[in-house]
Amino acid sequence: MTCVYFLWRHLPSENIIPRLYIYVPVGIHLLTSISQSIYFLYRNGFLLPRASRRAVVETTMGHNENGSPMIIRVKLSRPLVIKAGQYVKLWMPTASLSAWMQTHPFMVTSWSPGKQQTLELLVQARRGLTGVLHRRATDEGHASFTTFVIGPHGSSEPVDQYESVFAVASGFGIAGVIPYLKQALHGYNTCTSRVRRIHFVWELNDKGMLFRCFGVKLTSGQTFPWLLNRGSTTYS
Amino acid sequence: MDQLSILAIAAGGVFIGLFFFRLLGLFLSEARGFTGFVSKHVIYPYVLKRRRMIGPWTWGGVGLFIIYVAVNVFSTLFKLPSIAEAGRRTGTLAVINMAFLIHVPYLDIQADLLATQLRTCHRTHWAIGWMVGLLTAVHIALCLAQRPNLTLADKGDLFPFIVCSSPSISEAFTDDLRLLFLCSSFCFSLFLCFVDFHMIYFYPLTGPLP
Repeated sequence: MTCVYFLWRHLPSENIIPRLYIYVPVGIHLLTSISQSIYFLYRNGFLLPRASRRAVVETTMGHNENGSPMIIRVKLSRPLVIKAGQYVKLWMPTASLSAWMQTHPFMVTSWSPGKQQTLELLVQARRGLTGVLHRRATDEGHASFTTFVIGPHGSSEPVDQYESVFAVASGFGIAGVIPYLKQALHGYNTCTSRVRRIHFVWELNDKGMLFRCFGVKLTSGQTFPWLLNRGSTTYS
Repeated sequence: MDQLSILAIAAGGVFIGLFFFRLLGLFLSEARGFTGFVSKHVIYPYVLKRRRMIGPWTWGGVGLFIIYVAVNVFSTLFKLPSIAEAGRRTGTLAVINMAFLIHVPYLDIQADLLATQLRTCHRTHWAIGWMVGLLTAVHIALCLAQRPNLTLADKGDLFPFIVCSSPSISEAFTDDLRLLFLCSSFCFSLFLCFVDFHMIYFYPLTGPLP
């Protein structure tokens, strides 16, 4: 604001054109900010008397390890349509001392053809907020925080228009692929998409990651149901 | 430029945009082979692979960045009557470019509005930030060349100094450009000190200068 104000003062006032280059983007900025604020208040149920704004963090690891997976389940105050591949930003003001001025983007791994009441996020614990969440969830296996949702953001690829789908993920990149797989399998099961074949490659440096993420132990050549729907994955 | 000219340009832009999208729709089915060729040779091959500080840069990205720089350079130098005009043009261009940096609160909204990837918005933001920094640096240099006896007591000189040293402008940019702005502000301060000190050379010849 300081910069824009003094830039406005610096521009010549005799002609409106130079200052118009400030008025237009500032106007768009204000319009976007106001609309986003209203949407944020509506989305998080500020007008609802008993709105739920809680997120439960669950971890399967017994100690704080950099890169450990966590599952965050966000109970929404209003149901929300999330397309595959979209992400939300979480504002958890009570998670730590400085968390009130941070928002963090997380990929939504849950998918539903309709509105979702609870979002599921697969998160890699790193430094900062995710490290704090993991540390606090490690003690009892889970922890609950006041959470506000911003979004959803991001675009979704129309995978249901293709017969063959080839998905590649590495490590925690699986978080971006899971909703597409769920969508494709749902479309296959309900005959609402053209998907017939899904080729899925997941590069894992750590064999135990699948267990830590989904509670599944890997043995070579094993075929197991995948994602609780029709379809299977063979580990080699 | 009066209001009617602005209206005419805006209306013309809308019509040209609609016409362009109409043409795009007509040729879309024919252009699939061409887009495949472009993707294979322009969009996917890397000029510079991912490094710690920069990259990855593709041929398409580098080409668009060169075109963007060329348009700004052309707008500055086309039929340039004087150095003062160049200073004015670079300042105006910096403000025009900066409009694309401040028009949304955060880039996720811009990516949603333009239906592009967030990574594309980040790179565009990075490129525009660098361009604003360079144009501002040139603007400052040319203004100093025209009128070296600047002083912070004058509001006309104080305001641009605050703009350049304002942390909010550096907040909108990448870490590299933030550093550039801090350096430019520091250099500007040093230059002002130098100009004041420089007057001492003329002191034996002319006496104290006003």
